[in-house]
Amino acid sequence: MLIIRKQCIHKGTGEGECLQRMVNEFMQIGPPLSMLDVRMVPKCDIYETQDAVLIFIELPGVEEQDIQIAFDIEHNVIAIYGRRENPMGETRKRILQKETVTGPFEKMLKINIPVDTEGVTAKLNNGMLKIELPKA
Amino acid sequence: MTDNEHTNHSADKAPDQAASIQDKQARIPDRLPVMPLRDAVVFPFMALPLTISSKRFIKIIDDVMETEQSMFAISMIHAPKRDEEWSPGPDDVHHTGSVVTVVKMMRMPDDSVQCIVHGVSRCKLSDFTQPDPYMTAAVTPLEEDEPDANDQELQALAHNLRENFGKFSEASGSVPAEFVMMVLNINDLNRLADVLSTVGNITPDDRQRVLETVDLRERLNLVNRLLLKTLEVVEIGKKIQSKVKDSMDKTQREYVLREQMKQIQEELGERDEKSVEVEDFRKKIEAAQMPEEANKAALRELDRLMRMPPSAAEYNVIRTYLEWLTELPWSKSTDDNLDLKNAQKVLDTDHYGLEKVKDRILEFLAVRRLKENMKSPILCFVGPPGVGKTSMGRSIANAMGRQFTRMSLGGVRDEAEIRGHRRTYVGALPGRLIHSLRRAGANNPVIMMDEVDKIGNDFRGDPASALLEVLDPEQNIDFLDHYLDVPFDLSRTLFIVTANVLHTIPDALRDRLEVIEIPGYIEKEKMEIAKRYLIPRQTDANGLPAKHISFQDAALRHIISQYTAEAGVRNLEREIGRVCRKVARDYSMGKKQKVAVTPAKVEKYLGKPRRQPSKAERLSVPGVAIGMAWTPVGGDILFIEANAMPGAKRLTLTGKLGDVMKESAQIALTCVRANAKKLGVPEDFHEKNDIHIHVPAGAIPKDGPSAGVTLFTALVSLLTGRRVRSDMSMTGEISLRGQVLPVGGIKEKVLAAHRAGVKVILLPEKNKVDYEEVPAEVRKQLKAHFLKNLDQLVKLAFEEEQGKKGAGKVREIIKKHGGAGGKKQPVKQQVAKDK
Repeated sequence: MLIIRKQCIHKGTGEGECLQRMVNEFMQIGPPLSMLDVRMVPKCDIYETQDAVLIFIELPGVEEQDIQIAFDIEHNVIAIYGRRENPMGETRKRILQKETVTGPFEKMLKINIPVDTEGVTAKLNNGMLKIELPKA
Repeated sequence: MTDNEHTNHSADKAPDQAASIQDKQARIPDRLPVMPLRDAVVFPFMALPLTISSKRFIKIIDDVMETEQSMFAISMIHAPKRDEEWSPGPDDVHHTGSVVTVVKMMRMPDDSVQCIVHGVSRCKLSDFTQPDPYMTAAVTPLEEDEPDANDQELQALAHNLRENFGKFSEASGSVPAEFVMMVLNINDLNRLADVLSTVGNITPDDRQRVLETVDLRERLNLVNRLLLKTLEVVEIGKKIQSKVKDSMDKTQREYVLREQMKQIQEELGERDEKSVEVEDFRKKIEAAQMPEEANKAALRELDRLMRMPPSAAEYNVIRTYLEWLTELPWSKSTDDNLDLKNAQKVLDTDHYGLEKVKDRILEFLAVRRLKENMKSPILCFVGPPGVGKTSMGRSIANAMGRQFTRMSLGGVRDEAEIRGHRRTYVGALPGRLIHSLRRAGANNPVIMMDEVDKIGNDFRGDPASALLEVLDPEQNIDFLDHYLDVPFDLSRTLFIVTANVLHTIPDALRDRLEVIEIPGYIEKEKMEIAKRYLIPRQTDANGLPAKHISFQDAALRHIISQYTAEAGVRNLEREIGRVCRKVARDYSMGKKQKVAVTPAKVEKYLGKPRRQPSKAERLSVPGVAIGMAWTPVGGDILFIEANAMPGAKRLTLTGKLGDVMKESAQIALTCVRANAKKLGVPEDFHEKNDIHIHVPAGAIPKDGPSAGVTLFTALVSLLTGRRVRSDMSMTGEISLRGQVLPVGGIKEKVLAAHRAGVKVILLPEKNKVDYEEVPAEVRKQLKAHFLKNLDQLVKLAFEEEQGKKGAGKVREIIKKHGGAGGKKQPVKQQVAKDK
């Protein structure tokens, strides 16, 4: 798992923008033409404890090496990128049903609690990604 | 797997959800926190997003999230809203609510909480605790009926409900297709009823009723009713919308076409007609230099014009109005020619005589020269027809270098002719005054109003009263025409009105006029006028070479005295014209030598004189006296005849006499009877005789008191037998006590008498002043006596020498009658013989 720290990740992490996106995902309000843009939106829980902020993200079927975690220090945004590969790979097959989404995903979370990005730990267990951010 | 699961996404999800919720229903705690919400009803199986910022409610969420079920109760507030601090208590909420479970929650940076809750069950709330930290209540879930699939009535109700929803979605057009599909696929009738109570504009209160109605049959009926109601609202709305759209489409189309036309015109280099016009008017308004009020009105109308399509009916009305407004000479004026000598020359060239008028004009110019902003007088020329009143007006304008316009008020009887019509009337126009000013093109013209004495009035208003405003120098500074509706300054205009008589002009109007009387011309003046103006004009009019025809003085005099009888010169000109025509005929037939018109030739050309002057011979009997009368066309003399016959005390008056004149005759008779002894009249003459007084010509109505002295003279002459001097005429009112009172029209009367060849005139003492106004030439030829009373009259009126003879005879006759009583014959014979 690659954890990187950057001043600014890319567009879309600015003030408000990220929050709006979080709310939209929460309310299941898709961007325009969302019907065509069928992407994986991992669900997530966030907890605050005495010493840390804990993030749990559902990422079933995703390999640990396919996950990348990035911090936008400037905007206090944590972004999780990755992709879920089709478990069938290149195997010759006839598809009888297809519901799961494969391909790239990204999840951006804005954390309003000051955290120590240096001491971040992340662990994938039973398809659940656990990110622990010690409070600053 | 059922068929449904394959065909529809939401349908295939439903059983799982139902299962989980049914599972949850089984595990509803006995007591739950209650969240009162406004206008929100949550049905089982339905999701509701909530944004919670109240600390109290966030605490609810925080607390229930700690429990396994994450449940709380929602109930709708029915109490009216109060201030911010207020939190509703148990009495402020419905006691039927819903148990919900939190599906998702998210804390926002500002610590408010977003969450999505799902309805779990209807519930009854009871046993509330006080709201600290939040309200809680005992929860009794309300079990729904499990519908019997074979119940025909329920199925029919459901079918009906679906159908109505179909209609509704079609009519409203705003229901997403997915939702329609989802609803039509709901098999659970409980859910169907609940879902459909959320569509359209069904109110929260109605939804609460649906929530409270647990019985399925009843609930389906209720929802159906609500749906029908909302369907109706939508349909009516649609109808209105389509109507509005129809009319919108039409105007829209017109607008688009018009815009296109504008574009095309612009492409072709033709500017839009209207904007050209508006621009034009704007320039005109600037150029007109109106006073502020008018300017404001003009700009306001222009603004309206701009915003109006040229096809509007009102457009032309405004255009006409603006045309009027801009074409009036608001600040245009001509410079007065203040050269008095030149003015005098112009006036003298155009008119002979009329000194009084000329003097007045020259005075006006003189004052005008000294004082820039003097108020113009309102002059009124009064005189008989044909004396040159109207042409004098034009001449005055010429002399002053002003514009001249003339309007005739004769027969005008509508006030609107003077002041215009209000603009609200179709075809409204300004009055004649404004017309005149526009025609004059200057705000200081000479405006002549002819025939002001012949103005009429009826139910449409009184134009004479409208004139009061116009003809008052104090008021006409802001003359308000109804059409213009902005004041126009008439004070620089010189008004001249003309009239033949003064007495038909209303007093208030007469009071505003400076009256200048133009009396008739005397013979000498007429000759001058004929020589200077009439003959050259008629020669020219008949195409004769100048100087081809000349009139001898005697010939002119002959025409004047024998062929015309008038105060003016119109008939004279006509007669001269006739002579010229005859000469022109000869000229055309080859007689090229010059013609000198002699009296003989006049008779040849014009025939025998039509007017026979007859004076002296008619006075050859006693009982006849010459009076003087005033007529609108100048003056005239009239003969008053009196006769007596046997009878008793009767006085007969003939000759179409008016009441005043009749009374005047009675006064005369009384005066004679009262003074019978002094006059030498038998005192009992009236006992024995009837008196008859006649004033020829019998067909012409006569009235007035001024024949008093004449009547008296005629009576005295009859009764004494003394003849009245045949070269004498008289006028004057008499009082019962024998005083001679002044009368009007002296000048015209004297001129008429002079025309008729009278040498001596008797006038009331008090009319001496008026006599002074008679031209000196005439006065020189007349002998005037002024009477105070009847005694003086008697002394002057009778022929001395012959009188005695005649008097004897008549006295004799009367004596005979008096003695014999009723012997009629001799009198008649006598009179007949005398005549």
